[in-house]
Amino acid sequence: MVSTGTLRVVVADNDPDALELVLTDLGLEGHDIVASCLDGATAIAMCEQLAPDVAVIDHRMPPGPHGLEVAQVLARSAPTVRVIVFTNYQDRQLIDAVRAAGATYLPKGNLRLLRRAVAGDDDPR
Amino acid sequence: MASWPTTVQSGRGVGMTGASARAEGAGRDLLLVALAASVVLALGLGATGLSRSLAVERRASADERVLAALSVHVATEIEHALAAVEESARVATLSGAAMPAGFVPRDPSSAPSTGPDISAALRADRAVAAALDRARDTGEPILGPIVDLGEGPSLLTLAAAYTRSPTTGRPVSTVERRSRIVGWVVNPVDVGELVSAGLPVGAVGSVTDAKTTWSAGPEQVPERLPSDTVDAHGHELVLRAGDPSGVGTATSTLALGVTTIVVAALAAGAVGVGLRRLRSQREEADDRAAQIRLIGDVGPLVQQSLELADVLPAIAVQLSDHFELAGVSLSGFLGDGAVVNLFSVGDPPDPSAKAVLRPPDHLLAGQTLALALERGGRSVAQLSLVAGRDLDAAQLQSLRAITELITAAVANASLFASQQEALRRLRDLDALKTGFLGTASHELRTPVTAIAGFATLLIESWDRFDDEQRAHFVERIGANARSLGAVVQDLLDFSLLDRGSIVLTIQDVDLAELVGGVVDRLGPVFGDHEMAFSSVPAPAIAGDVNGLERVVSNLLTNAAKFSPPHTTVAVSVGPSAKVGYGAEVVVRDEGPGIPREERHQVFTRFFRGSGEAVLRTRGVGIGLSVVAELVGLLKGEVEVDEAPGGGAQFTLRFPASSAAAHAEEISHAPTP
Repeated sequence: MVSTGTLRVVVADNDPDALELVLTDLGLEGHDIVASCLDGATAIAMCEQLAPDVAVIDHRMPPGPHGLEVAQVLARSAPTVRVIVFTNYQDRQLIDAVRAAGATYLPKGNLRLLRRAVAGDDDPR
Repeated sequence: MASWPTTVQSGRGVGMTGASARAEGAGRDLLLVALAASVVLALGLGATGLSRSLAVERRASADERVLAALSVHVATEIEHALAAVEESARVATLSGAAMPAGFVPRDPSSAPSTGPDISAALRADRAVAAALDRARDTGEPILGPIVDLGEGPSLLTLAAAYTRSPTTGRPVSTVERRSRIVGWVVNPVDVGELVSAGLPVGAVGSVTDAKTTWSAGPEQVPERLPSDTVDAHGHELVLRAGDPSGVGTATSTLALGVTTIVVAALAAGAVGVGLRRLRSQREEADDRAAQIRLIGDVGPLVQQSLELADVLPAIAVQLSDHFELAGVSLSGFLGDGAVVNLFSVGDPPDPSAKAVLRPPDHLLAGQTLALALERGGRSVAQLSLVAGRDLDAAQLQSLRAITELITAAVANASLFASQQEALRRLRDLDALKTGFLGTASHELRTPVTAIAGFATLLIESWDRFDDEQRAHFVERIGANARSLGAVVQDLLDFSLLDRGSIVLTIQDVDLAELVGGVVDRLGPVFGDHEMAFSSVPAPAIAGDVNGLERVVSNLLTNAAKFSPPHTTVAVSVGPSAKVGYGAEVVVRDEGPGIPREERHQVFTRFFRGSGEAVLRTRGVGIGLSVVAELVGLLKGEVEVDEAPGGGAQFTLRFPASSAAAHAEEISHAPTP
């Protein structure tokens, strides 16, 4: 199901440029960015506290939990949050593990695909 | 009774009479070690009797022990007989002495020097004639067919005797042998006697050739008893033996089984000088059989073993038990010649004992024998043995035979260890390569993603941003493009260095000028950091401008990358106080620094630190390795330390160019 309205979004990425890009683009789309952060632990806390509709999470965010771990934790602690793992890592095992955790895997590099994924297109690719 | 009357069932026999010159003594001692492994191993005793296990406490059945003893006895006696007949023929050849009993002259009309003539009857047997021809042509002792010389079927041993050549001794070619043959020494071996003598009290046994069976014992040999096949120089002899009475079963170990059988036989109370002598010989033979068996046990185990730790303790126990050693130790040699103790038990060896390749004729109790273990002319280890009792030459030769086996084990273990190490390195390298490819592709994609993303924003939403936002996005595109360029440059440098194809143009370089230029170019890029550059006059160095700029640029980029915004990166150039170097560059930052335990690794390819500052930043792990490798090619050095304020401090040093060094010498020359 694809939503056309405003969604409450949490964004986490340890790369400031990548974070700024997502925040800017989703802001232009009209979504409500309720929180943004540079690490996985804060992302988990924000999602559990704010219960956003969507969480856009980078994978590699050392030294704390990475995106897959965030997705796995939120699947239990905040199951209503749709998690999108948005990463430059294109690894088959990672993709399978993200999907097994009930989250969406999306490679970085195409903002249009991110917009569709946030809106709820089950298969943005 | 220690020996049973034997019965013979024979399918054939030539019905001869003649001498039965049983082999006695000659060459017996010489056989010990040379024959040890071949006898036991060739006999294939492992199939039935002899355990290959080194477990000292392992039990074997009484029947198996009896069979094993009989097998060893029969095989050993046959070898003795062959050695004796060869020795008789050799003596006859060399000395031209009177021909011994059992001599078959070349000329049928010639009478033997001593003893009855058996030659005519022997020649009449086709199989014997063929064996005589073979012995003549090969010059080797032959185990011939079974014939009956009037005392039952016997195995013939025969060896050719030749006229003595004043120059060459024994003939060396078949043609020469045929022309110089004078006859053959032929000795029959009474197999029935062997069976009888090879059995302990109460035991029964038999030896079966293709058509003949010799058996000894108080009853027929039951089929249920274990059997063993012995290939005695082409004669397949099937041995079957056992101890139906159960005598000797109290013995707990296989290793001691044969000795116990002998003791039991002696305890039976037989008397008489001849019998004692026989028993003494048998005891000696059994002792040697035990040594042979020890070698047979140890051989396959150590030669198949890949881990010395698995077998050395067991071998040491075996050796200690058998030879009553007070101490056993094994030392190995490392690549640099250093000696490392691999294993040690009991008394320590005398450190002054010099390693020898061949054991002496005897070793007194308490003395140390240090045997050098060599493979391919190279020392691989040293086995030191401390005697617990006096050891004779035969025992020392047996020990030497075992050390040869241990040498093989050491060589095997060494080879295995080096292969394991190579495999481990390959695996590490593979893991490193996989990790590097993953990291490198991520580090390449990250700036590309940012560039494409900001460009997309500008293209799709130009009108929705003000000028300041647009300028910011353009600046981020530029920064990520530089970041991408740096990663690509590192990868290219790395690739060139890795292939050894980097080209350096060496010329005199003023380091202060070069570093100042790099700082000027990079300064604007490091908008968040202050660059502080200082220099004092220093000698010119011999270097490559592009390479040096890459080195300095990498260090400055690193310093800015790992230190907080709005801190200072300080760069200074000056003369080097270190001997052998003319000038140096020091780069300091105010970041967290590099942990002491990681400093020796930071110049290693693909290494990335574990600190938070490292984890939060991008990097492939090759920048500093490129620095170190380039500096090495320029004959300089790079060091990492802690900066006075706690950050990282990198120091580059380069030798002065020869022109600069020459000028330096002139300026320091005393005024005339």
